[in-house]
Amino acid sequence: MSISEKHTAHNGDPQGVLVIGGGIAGIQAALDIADSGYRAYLVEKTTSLGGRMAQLDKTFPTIDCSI
Amino acid sequence: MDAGRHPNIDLLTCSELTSLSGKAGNFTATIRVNPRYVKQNDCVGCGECVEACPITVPNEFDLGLMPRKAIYRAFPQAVPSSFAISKRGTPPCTAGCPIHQNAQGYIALIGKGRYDEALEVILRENPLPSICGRVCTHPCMENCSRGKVDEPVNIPALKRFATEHSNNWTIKPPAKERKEKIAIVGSGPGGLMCAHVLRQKGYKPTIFESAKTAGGMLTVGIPSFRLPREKIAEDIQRLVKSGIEIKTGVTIGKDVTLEKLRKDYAAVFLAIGTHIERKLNVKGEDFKGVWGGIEFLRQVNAKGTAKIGKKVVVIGGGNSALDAARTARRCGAEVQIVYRRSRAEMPADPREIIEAEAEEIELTFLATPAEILGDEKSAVKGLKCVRMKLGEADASGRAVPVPISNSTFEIACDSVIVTIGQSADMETLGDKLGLQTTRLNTFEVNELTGETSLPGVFAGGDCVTGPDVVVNAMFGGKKAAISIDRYLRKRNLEKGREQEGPFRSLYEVDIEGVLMQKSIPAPVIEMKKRLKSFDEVHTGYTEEQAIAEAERCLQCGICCDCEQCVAACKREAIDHSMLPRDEVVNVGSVVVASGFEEFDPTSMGCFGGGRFLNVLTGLQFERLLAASGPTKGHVYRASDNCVPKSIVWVQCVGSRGEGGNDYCSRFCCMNAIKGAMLALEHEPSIEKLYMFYTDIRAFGKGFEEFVERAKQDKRIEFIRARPSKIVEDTESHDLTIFVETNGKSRKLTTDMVVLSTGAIPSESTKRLAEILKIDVKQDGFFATRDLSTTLIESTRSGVFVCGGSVGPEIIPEAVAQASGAASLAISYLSEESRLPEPEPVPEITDLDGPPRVGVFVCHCGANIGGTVDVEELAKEAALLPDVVYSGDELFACAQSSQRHIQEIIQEHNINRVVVAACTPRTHEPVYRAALAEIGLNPYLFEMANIRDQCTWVHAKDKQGAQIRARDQIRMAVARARQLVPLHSGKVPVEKRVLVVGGGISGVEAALAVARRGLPVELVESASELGGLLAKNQLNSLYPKGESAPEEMFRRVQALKLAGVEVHTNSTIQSISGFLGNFEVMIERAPTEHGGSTLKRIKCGAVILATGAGVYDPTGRFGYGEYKNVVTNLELERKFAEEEDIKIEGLSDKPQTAAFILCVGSRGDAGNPGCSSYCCPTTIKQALQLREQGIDVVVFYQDMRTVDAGMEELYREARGAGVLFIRVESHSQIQVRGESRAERIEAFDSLLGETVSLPVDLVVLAVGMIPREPQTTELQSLFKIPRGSDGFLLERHPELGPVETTADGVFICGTLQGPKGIAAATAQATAAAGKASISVGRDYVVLEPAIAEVNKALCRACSTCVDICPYHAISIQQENGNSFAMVTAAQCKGCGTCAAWCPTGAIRSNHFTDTQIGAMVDAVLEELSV
Repeated sequence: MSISEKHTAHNGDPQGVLVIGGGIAGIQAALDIADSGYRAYLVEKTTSLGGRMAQLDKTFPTIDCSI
Repeated sequence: MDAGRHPNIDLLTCSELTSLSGKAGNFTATIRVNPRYVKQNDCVGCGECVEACPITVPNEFDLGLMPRKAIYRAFPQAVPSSFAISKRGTPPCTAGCPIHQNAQGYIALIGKGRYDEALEVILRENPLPSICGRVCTHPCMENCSRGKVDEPVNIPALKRFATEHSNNWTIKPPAKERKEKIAIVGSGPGGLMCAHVLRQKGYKPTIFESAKTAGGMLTVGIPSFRLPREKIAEDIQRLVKSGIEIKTGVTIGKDVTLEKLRKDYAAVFLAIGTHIERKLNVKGEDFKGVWGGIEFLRQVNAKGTAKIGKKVVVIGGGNSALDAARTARRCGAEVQIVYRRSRAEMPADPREIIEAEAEEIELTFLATPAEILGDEKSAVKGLKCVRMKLGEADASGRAVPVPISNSTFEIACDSVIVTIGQSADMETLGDKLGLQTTRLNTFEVNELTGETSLPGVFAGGDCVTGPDVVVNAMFGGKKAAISIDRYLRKRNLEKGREQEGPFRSLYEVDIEGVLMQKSIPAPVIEMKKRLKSFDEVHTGYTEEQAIAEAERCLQCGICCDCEQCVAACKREAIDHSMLPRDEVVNVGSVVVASGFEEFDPTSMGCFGGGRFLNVLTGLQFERLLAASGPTKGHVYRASDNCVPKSIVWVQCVGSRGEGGNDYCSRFCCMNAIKGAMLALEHEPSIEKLYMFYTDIRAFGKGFEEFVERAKQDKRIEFIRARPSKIVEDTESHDLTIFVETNGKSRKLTTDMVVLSTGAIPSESTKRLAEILKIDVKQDGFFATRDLSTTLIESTRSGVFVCGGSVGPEIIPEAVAQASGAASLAISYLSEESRLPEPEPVPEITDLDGPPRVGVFVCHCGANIGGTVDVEELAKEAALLPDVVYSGDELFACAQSSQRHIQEIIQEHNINRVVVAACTPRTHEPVYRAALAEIGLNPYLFEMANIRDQCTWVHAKDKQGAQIRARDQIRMAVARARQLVPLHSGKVPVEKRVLVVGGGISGVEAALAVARRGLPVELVESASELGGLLAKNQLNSLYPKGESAPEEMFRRVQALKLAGVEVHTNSTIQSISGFLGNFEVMIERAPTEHGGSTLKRIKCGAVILATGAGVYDPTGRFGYGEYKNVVTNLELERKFAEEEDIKIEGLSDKPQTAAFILCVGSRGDAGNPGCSSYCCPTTIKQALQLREQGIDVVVFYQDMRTVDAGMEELYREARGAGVLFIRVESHSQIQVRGESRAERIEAFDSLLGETVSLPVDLVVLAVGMIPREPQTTELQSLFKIPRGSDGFLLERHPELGPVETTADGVFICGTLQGPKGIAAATAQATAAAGKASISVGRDYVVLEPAIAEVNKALCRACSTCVDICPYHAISIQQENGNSFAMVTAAQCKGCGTCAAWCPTGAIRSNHFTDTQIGAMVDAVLEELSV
């Protein structure tokens, strides 16, 4: 089922925000939009989210796990 | 990773934007969704397919350090967790094959020793593999990409190998039988192929063959030393077994008429071949000893030999000519081939020509027979020929041979074999019933379908094409079979058939870096044996040879369509036929976060990046450190898998003017230092790390302190120098660095080098910019509307940019920009676009009976699994009381594992869940959400942190760690058994935001909230808005020099237009309440009209933006003593006030100015960290002074021009003659003078000597410090902790830069830490976005895991009221009784009150005494046994 079919079936076809890129910035933007109660279309070129940050082991300066 | 499960996010992976039309507020976006070839909803991520896949390619995620399969998941925790297949498209070999034989597929499988599977792949397209493996001309090889490197892969030899090394010799019967019978005339490759394809579709084909043996020209015309008869028989026999009937000795036209066939069969396919030989039409052709080529071969093939002379001339240049010549040679003759064109034009397979020459067959080119000479007995005695030359090309593109006059010559011979072509035998066919034929005596057919002029009659193979190769005949048969099926099912015969037959692949394979390795020649029998027998010449590869040859394949298509994964997947989730689709969505705005790429150091040859084994890029080194990476967190050299003794880092590779990029990549300094520290932690045996750098750019919050920590470690040596080159020892693969330090050349040998590679714009940036119609900057990153004040507004309305696509970013900045961009983007959406709150899943309420505990123990890759035996832990946990399930998960947080956990919970009716994994701080919400999704109360969940608290800290004591992990799990299970469901309450939200602080950050935040359509009020303590950007403060902004007051004025006007209520001369007096329901009292300062006034503001969220102060340098460098020593802010005011700078007490224009950087920054009193704004400001001011003709010297420690456009401006300043002098520390700078500063002396650490310069003006670039008393006041009013640098602390330095520990209270701008204006406005917009999320909801959901008071036990002693860090408890009166009451919305459930309560009246309802007691009992249990 395509996206528009899915949404029309559920709740009409509300406007959303297009977010291009599924790295840390794109994920953050999409989450903020979604948490605000709006639709985010998160478009990622590769097979999964994560971008560069997922490739990092730890982040500075906290030395926290990246994932 | 929550983005993967949020109901409001539609995640489209493998997707790209292809067009955007419309305008801001109403865009239509088209997104191309490329197939994963794995059904996302069906894939459980088990990885069985990976085992089955024969294709190995470098793993992009590990930057090529590790291989992956064509079917893959980028990393174990990937979202979505479904696997995907990499396909580049039909590989050139398959594309070039007329029947699209999947060569890459079977080659890959042979390479893995999987011969049965290889043959199975071959048989899918080709029912005659033994035949094709020997005599096919293999057009696949002509297209083979390997041919561009050295030689094509020997595909036929591999195919033949598979047929000889597999027992998998069956053709499967059709899935469905059909009743229609089809007649096929001719059992050559065309007829056989047609019969096979029809049979596979369920039809019942009958082949009529006039000869006694089936096989057509394969049997008649091809000699057995190339194609043994038994091999033909085998292939045909297999077809017969599959249900194809072959009637030999039946000639259509003679024994059965064509008309009868048409009547008795549903359709007819004619594949009668070309068995009539063409004649030379020269004198003497009827002499004895003149043979037709096919006639000769037929006789030898049938009888084993033929009566042929001693000296034979074969005429012609096709495959038949060579076959005849080589056969004649085996009959004992001397053989000469005469061909009228040159070698290049010979239609025969070049490999056959080489074989013929090896068999001493003479080739005579450019000669044509004029007459066959005979003796008196009419027997051949010679051949008269004419020499030819090549003329113009004919229609076929080949040069036409033209006779040379007077060039006849004779060849003595006793036999002549004529092989100059054949034609179809139309005569024997008899009544053709009106079948149309061509001028060349072939059937006239529709090229696409093989239909003849008679309905239901199809034709193909040589009788259509003229004499041609085997595979083309097979193509004709396949084509006709498809047509016959369509014809019988009454479908359109032509539709969609353009893809049949050979074509060229649409892509080029990159062959750079492929090692040369020539093809392994197919083994042949000895020449002596060859010439004496008809034994097969080629004997076929050995296993070793076949595997080596198969490994030469470049895997052009990546996935080889062998479909082994399909067979392996138990969920039937794989679908190789998926096609791309387009999604069209209506969007109000766009946020672009397309990221950056790592600079490729290969282009900078001097460092050996991409060439030397032990030279890594920054990101590659990062992968080495990762526990889930290629070395499982070990730092190993690629050359010998040993831990290096020393590692060298080279900074600025591809940044700051190196490798073609002018900008600073910002993250690399810190990343390298982090890498160095982690390397020492992971590998204690590393002895020495060298960090070659130009400037250490630790500009962010907490960075300086981080660097100082690294500098404490004596194993890390920081060297301010740039290596000129790196040389590799070819044997040891050690590396020698050539570098000049302090004017001396130095050589340093090391085991490993890490190049701190910078960021470059991602490859999609340019294309996206075109689609989105937004600008890119000169450096290739997206342009913003205004570089000095915004990082998130693109040059087009409604399109926002953030993160690494705007320029190199550090994570907290990217996160802030993303939140800011999201907020501005939402402001383009209408209120109607708001989605309804999702309905919660009905909760499982049946919790009666004993608890049913499920335990899931996580390996966390090697993080836990590398230290303890996870499976053993799970086994032991299964024995604990009430545990009904216990199992292990590789990564329990992965989406697929979550689904698995949910399934297990449902399957076993589990109602208490324990996950033994990492920290609940980050991961508890993930599991709680998973529980809620299936209706289990999320508080019936307990986590045992066996990673951070066990395997990380006890990595060296595996045995101890095992015991400890077991204890932790036992405790968790004990508590889980006591857990009860908790339910959240809701309180309505006050839809208003209060912003405190009217500088650029506060104003920008207020504007952004207003753009969201929410009421906002702004409080400013001064009489006017503006802060540092108000009049007579900052004059102009870096890097573009915009007027600061004008920028501010524009915003204040916008604020007025937006109707933001502004309270100037006002401060916060008190605040009460909680997220969604704050009550703030603001106090307006007394005016001439009266005393101070109070005003109450109710709001749902608060944004704090009161800014920072600056360090007071009084007493340092003569400040306060000399009038001509000023701060940079004072200089800024001078610029605002005076056209030309004047110095008090100096009559003339000043000649020289000196800047001293880091005064009150970087641990030099004031701010322990870097103030980050001062370097760029200094550059800007230095350039302004240069414009006035003043000489400028800048004394610096590290030049940190990291903000967008600043590195370029730094270069401009050097070009403009600004002198930069590097000093080690401030103690090495002295400012001297009588009544004013006259001289400045400093020790230049780069020159190694003291410099002394006259000076008229000294500018101190003063650090940013927390603004007082505001910061302290806010800290106590809002209970927000401060960092060690004194600035207010954000929730998380990387991921929560504008949130605080107080829900609903956000911070932005320099209140949070020093920063430039563009970074401050990004944070302001982000804070506005976060505040809008808080007040945008109708209700606040209250945390139910809080403290509760038992009124009966409470004595109202107030201990809890005083102790509560969140002011959540107050004393209430009811019916004359006093007792403590907890305000649910403010309580954080920390439990402090419960611990202090002297009467035990307070209990923390998610950490009850019973629960904690159970844990204590559990941990002591083992001791008591």
